[in-house]
Amino acid sequence: MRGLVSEIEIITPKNLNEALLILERENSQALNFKIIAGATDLGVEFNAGHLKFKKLLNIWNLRKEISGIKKEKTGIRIGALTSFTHIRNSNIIQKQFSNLSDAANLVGGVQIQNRGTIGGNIANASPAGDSLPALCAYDAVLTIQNNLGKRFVKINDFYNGYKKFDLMPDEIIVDIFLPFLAKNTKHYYRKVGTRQAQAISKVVVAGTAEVSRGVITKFSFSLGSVGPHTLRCPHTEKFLMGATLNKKNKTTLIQNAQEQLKKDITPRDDIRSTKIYREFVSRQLLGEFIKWL
Amino acid sequence: MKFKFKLNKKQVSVDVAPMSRLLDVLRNELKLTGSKEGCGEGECGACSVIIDGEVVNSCLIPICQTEGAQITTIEGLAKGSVISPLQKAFTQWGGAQCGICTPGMLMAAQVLLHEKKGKVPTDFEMREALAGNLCRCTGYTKIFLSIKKAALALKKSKGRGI
Repeated sequence: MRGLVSEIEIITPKNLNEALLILERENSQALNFKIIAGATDLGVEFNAGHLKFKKLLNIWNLRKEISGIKKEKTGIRIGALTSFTHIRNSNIIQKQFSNLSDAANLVGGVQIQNRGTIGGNIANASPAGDSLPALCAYDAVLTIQNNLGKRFVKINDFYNGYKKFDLMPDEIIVDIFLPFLAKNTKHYYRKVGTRQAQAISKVVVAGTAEVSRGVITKFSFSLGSVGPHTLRCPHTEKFLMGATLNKKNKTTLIQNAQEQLKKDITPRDDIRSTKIYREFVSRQLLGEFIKWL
Repeated sequence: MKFKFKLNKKQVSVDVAPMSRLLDVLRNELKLTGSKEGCGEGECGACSVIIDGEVVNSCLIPICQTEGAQITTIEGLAKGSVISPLQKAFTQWGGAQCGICTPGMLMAAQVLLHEKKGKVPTDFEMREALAGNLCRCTGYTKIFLSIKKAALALKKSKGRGI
């Protein structure tokens, strides 16, 4: 049964400062006020009667302050309230961070892309979050702010369990920084789900690689829906770093990398897929990526 | 709490709880029952409305996020008793069958036609623009045909009446 609207208290701050002050006042002891942005996840929970929170801080009005894509010297900065529509239409993201624009294209349908925000995708912390493997493979850095100031957290250090992450109740994720990659970097993104749109992934992957004179000099590989949170694959990456690529050894290299991948992922059976299928697909996707290099 | 926004070009004010869903406010408070509830979880698009030029699921929007917004619902497409070229095409070319998905389809298609500015959308563009709207009757073929016909009619009339 749907939640009761009369039970929900909502505060709508006018600007970021006010939002941070409210969080300091209300959330210093515990998470009393949950942040709500585009409502594409919390709205679903509410409609299903599963929303645990009775008090919400509505930050949708802070779009002027914390949305948009800015080019900086060493990378780009994406405001946390930037919608997936904005991201998929961004030229610089299409050209230099294609995994993220591919991800934005595959979030829900147009309606969800118009409302869903990248900060929301991060803080909702679903293991299946579409943009998260892209951000993890790109070594994104989050700017997290409270009333006292800012701190910076690598997204690859941010998650530490199912829906557990390094964000205090008085903090807001304000932006996401993506460092530029070398021009010759190859970008790989795949989402495997029941259908193209409106499906939550069975497996979602993003990777980057640099190959110089037949040697892999940089390799990142990140997967979603195969563990308690989106993860990087340290064993696989370490194995592939410095590996030589040639026609003769490619098949063996792929097989050995796929063996390493087993150590990196812990897929499970759930309503969307099975452990066996997820493991198989993850291996195949890694293989496809390496084959393409 | 009171919330004000523009609905189908008219200023309206409602007095409801801030978490009230836009869909419920439209249907129950404002008696605009064109927007339908299908899934209630942002999957089917039957409740689609246009907010500030973007198509959104009204079942997921708390009313407190609509303050000051410009909202168009299916009731805002026709001008008086004259239906829009898009609505006309849907009736002519079988784009509407059982009708539950139709208001949402029209909203999503309306935004697409706006964005195309008089050009006829490709099949791919239509599929993408309507990816968030489910239909269990038409198999989508007639819907795409209707949108194409509407786009062609609009091109002929140089975008008048969109």
